[in-house]
Amino acid sequence: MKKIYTIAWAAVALLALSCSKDLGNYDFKPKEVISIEGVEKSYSISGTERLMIDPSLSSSEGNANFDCFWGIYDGDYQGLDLPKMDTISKTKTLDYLVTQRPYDKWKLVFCAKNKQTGFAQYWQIPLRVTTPSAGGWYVLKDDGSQSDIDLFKTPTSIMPASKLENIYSSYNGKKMEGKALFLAYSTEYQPSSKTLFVGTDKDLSALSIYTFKEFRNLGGLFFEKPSVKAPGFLMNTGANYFLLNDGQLHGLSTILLGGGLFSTRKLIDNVNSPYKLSKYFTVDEVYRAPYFFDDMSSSFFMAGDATDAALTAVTDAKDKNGKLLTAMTAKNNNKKLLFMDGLYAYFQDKTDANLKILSNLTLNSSAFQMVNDTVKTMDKFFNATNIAILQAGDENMVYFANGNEVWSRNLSNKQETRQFIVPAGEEITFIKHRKSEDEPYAYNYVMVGTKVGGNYKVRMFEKSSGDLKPTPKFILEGTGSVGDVYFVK
Amino acid sequence: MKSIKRLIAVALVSSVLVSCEKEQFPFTDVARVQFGPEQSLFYNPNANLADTLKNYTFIYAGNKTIDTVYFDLYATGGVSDQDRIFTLKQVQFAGANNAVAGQHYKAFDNELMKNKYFVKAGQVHARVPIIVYRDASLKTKDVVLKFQVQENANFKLGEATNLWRKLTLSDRLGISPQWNTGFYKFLLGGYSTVKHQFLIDHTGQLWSEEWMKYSIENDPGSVMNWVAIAKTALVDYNNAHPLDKLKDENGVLIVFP
Repeated sequence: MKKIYTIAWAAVALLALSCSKDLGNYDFKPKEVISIEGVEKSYSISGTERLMIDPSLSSSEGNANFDCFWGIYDGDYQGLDLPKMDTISKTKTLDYLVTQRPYDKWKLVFCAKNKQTGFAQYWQIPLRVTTPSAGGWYVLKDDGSQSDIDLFKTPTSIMPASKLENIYSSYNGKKMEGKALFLAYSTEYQPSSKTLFVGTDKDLSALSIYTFKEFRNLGGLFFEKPSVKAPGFLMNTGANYFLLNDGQLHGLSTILLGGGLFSTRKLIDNVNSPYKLSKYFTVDEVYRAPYFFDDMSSSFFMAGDATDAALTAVTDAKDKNGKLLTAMTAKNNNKKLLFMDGLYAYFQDKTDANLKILSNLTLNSSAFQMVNDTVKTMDKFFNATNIAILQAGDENMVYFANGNEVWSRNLSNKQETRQFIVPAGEEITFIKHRKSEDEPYAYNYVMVGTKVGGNYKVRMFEKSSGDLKPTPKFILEGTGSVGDVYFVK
Repeated sequence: MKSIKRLIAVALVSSVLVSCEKEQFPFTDVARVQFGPEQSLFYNPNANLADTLKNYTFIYAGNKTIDTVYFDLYATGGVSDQDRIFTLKQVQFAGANNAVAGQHYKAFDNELMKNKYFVKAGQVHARVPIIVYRDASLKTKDVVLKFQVQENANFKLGEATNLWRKLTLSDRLGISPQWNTGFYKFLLGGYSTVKHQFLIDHTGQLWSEEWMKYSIENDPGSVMNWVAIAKTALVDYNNAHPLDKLKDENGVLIVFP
């Protein structure tokens, strides 16, 4: 009986459902398409400027009236943590005073709804909010005692279009003490900002490229202010940051919560021996481990995690019988480091100044290997200054200055070639190779900086089969003497 | 079929009636009193026995000679429109140096204290202040103050496991729970008072439970910095005293991992 009731109820329920009205859409007409014109693929605008966009709309349904709105949201969200969209206009034409913070990943949203059909279509357009100080070629330069930065703006291509002179002092009200040394750049050091580190031989300044205001000086970068201010470098391999000051190495990890301050100096061994690291370092690109050279003990060291209290001494490669597999030991080798980058180090013997060795390095902390090329005194490289090894992926060559000439040395066959003679009166002060494949601002330049009188020139040479093209792609010019040149997209 | 219909009708009507009933304060019972965790942890079942034992050391109290340690007490059985006094009594703890009223803490039956031990009208929670003295004896030994609530005219006793609290007093360095947490254990290694004092002396930081907890939660990089400074200082100390390297109170060589 019970079963019959159940079946009966189920049947009634089915019958009741069958009475519902079919509201299905059996319209096989093509979907309406709203077309838009007059909108760029992306926008880049300085904060506090007006963003004006006047799109023209048409519908595949013929004459149409549209309801429109514009919105903006943070396009860099994770998972389901959806950002809130701000509506910035309820008209088709956008005329909006940008108040959003400088940021690369804003998304503009435009919606047009056909009033007749009720059909609405959305468009999303990337928007970069920037400031006049953000992006371009930054040239760090000095007048012999104080440093400043010139910024060459690159609004449409890698070629500079305009120049902002002495931008550091114009934003900070003062120049940096000391001679220009290095620029280092990080998008991770400060969350939601981009940091430019500016190093001179007497100070270091950390600034946001958006505001260009210094937010930390050298002392402010440490838990405990160092007594001597003599930066050598600031570099990072991922979250591990290393800062050399007065030959002493300090570290910090941006993985840890906290203020991004550098710890006390690292020990070089377990008896706290004195050391003075060279300002030249290199990085094992596979393990992202940096290697340093102590000019005092003439030994190589590796740093693992930036928070480690001590450096790790490297050991030489040996075969199973204990025989050294390196041309020169990495420990107490009685050498002074003249230059190091990539997989090459250039040494001078501490006893015999005429013994200079260019070593090809195998970076491995437990099996360090060097293959030596003793540089002849008549080689142009013997008295090289401003040495620049071409970056990984390019030719196996080193560029350098010899007097007022730029030379190259093929690291595979030791062949030396004169690449450029700087005009009389100019003195070479800087050579560096930098490149980026980041379109539309891809570049690959050997940069040759010279000084003439109180002015600098940085010739940006492209290469052809490892040789400099006869004329530079462009020249950056200004007052002072160049310490470093860095491009930020 | 009839019975089904009747059943549905009765269920509907009774549910409607039940929903009209005024909600009563459901915990009316005999008023009882017992200790508990601090208020923010009250609904955390894992915190039932939190704060049963507390350590207090004057080491981090600067020049203070007197201080107050708080416990939390809860009344059950509803609120009252009057303040309700509760009574505390010290109980002896076997095998320890028991605190002496007047010497190590202000006696619970002291006239001034008596008035501080009450649950306010309209409330079920009270903070229990224990006033502790920096007695010279704390420099050489720790003392234990175990106390429990007493039944009185206002309150019967609550759960047996929460009737008592224990407070250890000292004026010497001592291990705090943070030393045994993963991060600090990894950084500092085994505890000794000599190591603890060495850290304080060479970093100028407190290394108290609160300081350690705050630092690790807010700026672990700073802790690593202070430990690195202490490590360097230890190496320098041992270099300067090659025949008398730094040892702990048990004669074991001090090391940081």
